[in-house]
Amino acid sequence: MAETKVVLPGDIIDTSLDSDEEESSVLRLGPGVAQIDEQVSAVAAGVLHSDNEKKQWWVVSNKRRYVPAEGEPVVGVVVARHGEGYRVDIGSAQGALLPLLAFEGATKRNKPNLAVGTVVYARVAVANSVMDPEIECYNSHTGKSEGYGELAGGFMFKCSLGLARRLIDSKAPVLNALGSGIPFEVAVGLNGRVWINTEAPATTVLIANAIKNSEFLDAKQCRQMVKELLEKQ
Amino acid sequence: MDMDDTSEQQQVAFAMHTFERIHHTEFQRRFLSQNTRHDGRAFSQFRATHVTKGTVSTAQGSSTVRIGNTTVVCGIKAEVSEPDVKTPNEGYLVTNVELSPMCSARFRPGAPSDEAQVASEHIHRLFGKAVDLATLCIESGQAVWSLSADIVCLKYDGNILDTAILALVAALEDLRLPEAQLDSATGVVSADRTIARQLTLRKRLFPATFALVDTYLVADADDAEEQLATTSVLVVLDDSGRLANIWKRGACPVSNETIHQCIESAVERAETISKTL
Amino acid sequence: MPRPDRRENDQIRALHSILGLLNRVDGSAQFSAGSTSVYCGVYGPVDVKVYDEKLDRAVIEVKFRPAAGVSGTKDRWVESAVRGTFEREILAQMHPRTLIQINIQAREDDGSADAAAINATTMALVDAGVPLRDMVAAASCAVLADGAAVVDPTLEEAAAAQSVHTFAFAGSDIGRAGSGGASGSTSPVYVDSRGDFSVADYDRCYDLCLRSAQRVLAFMRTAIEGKIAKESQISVV
Repeated sequence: MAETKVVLPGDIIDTSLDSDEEESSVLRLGPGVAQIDEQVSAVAAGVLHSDNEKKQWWVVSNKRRYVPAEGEPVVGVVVARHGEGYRVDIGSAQGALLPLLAFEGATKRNKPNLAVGTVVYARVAVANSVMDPEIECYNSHTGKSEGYGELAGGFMFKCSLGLARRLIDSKAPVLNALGSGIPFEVAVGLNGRVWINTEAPATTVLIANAIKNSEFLDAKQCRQMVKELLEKQ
Repeated sequence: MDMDDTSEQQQVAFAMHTFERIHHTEFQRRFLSQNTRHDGRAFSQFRATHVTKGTVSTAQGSSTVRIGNTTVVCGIKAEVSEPDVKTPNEGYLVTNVELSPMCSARFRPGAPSDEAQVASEHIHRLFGKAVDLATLCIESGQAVWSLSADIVCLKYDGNILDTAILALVAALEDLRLPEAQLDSATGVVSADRTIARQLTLRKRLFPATFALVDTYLVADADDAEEQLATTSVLVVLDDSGRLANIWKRGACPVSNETIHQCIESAVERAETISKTL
Repeated sequence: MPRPDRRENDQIRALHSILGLLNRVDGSAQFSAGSTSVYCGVYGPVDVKVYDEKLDRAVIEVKFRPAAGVSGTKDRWVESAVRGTFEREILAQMHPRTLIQINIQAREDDGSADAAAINATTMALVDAGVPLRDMVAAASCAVLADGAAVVDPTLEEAAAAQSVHTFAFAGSDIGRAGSGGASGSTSPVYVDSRGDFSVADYDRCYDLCLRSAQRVLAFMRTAIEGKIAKESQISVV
């Protein structure tokens, strides 16, 4: 069940459940929600979501600074190469480590060689407060690349984390509207970075602008904007 | 038997010392939870305060103030300078608090630390109204006295603000300014050292700092206690019993009742210090 | 005696704010009360110098720059006031080994700038999504020579005042005071009362500032909620 309640830091969240279950049951607090003293309260401003079935509460907020979370797809730039791996800038406080062998089918003898400046699409493998984040260009559970890897060519730009989260949804109106008009490749990182690749630079610029403009537009407005942009082209 | 006894005593003493070193927070908390402090003081008790005036013979006004182990020396140097265009009848009072590595290992050599700058600025703001800057005027728009008060900490053991404020009050009271005149023809200021004029303070300031260690409010925290306290309340009273400053800073909120408690304690403290000063 | 700008004694100046106006920082806000105006930009959590690094929490750094002239001791004083105010409200333990940097730039100081700096910081921190225990709202009040207490004094009023008082309160505390609680049960996060005043003056200003802070908080709430509604219309609708 979706609620649309806006909360601000310090707002106390009522976690009493509709169902008459015992009170000792475990509550799951997601991002933007924390236990302060004896109460559960919001620590970020955003829209409060809850799932009474699973006893979950979380706040969807828009940020610009990425804090890595395990399993999230990110777009990063290789900034250095060390003996055991690459240092990749994913926009978080500390640079992420990408081990040399964290690619599909990589072996000691046969592994990709990335130059500094290469853009990669990766998945966050380790994210905690004590260690620097670690990313990998394949799903270590399946051993398959699943679309992760080097992003050759194309163009990368930054956007807010909130927009990135909406873009990664396969129903994202702006991407669907664009896709029905022009062919292009896109990789969305939850770290607020989007990579696109098309055949002509002019198209790349058009798509990048359309995506950036969609920040405050709803589905209908998105389609209208894309339509106008395509007509102008 | 004798041997055993001493070795056991040593072990106990060593354990306490080690305890203090390895778990400073818990060490202090044990005392506080027993309604006392590690140096045996009651929560509302200030350390012994000594004020000596005229300790630096080369300065026009000086003092040395000790609160417990914290020692500061304040020297005021008077120089003639041109007044600011906006305030042609007013002299200057420049305050500078120096916290060098000499007084504690907490401070580093080089540019003044933020802590020292904040103290200098706060004291400057406080004394802006305590000293009548118009009495520092020699010739309107031409020449005024500029007083630079250097407050140097020799030994740091907490509560630098109280000590520095007291030192400046004492040094200002000790200050003797020579009678100066501006020769309008030559533009030279000549001073007659034989006639010394005392500066009248509008008000004497009596500071009292309280620190919040966990939930305990302690007066005049020393260095060890200050390291645990994230919050402090400074109350400054003048000699007529009116307030000059309430400054609560730091992380923890302090209830309004607690602030009133601080004011009451500060009133008592002011009475005691006014006798020492 | 009427105030120069014809305000009531307990009336704050018109508030104005812009959230997220700087696009290179992680969060930003402009907060204005009348012609007093302050910008604040927040970075965080970002990489911290190894020398400053704290293993269990984020380092909080505050930089204040005046509207005109070079930065000096005065600004260090404001920095320390702001840092102290937010040290507990920022949940620094959620981002250990990082830095949260708060940059404040005064745009125009026409009195009560310390309070404006604190309010701008709250809004910028919320905009940056830095985890906060609570929001902080600040307000100033001055006791004039004729004994009248006026809130949100201008520079002119503050210069002629007997005493000037600045208080900052946490949002939940203001909420409690609003729901019928006496001001005695509130706990300010920051107090700076200066000049020549009595305990009664202090108490009077305390109440006035608490009520002003209540209004400031309500204003900040509306501004932030407005931005969230605008941003999340897609995910909400």
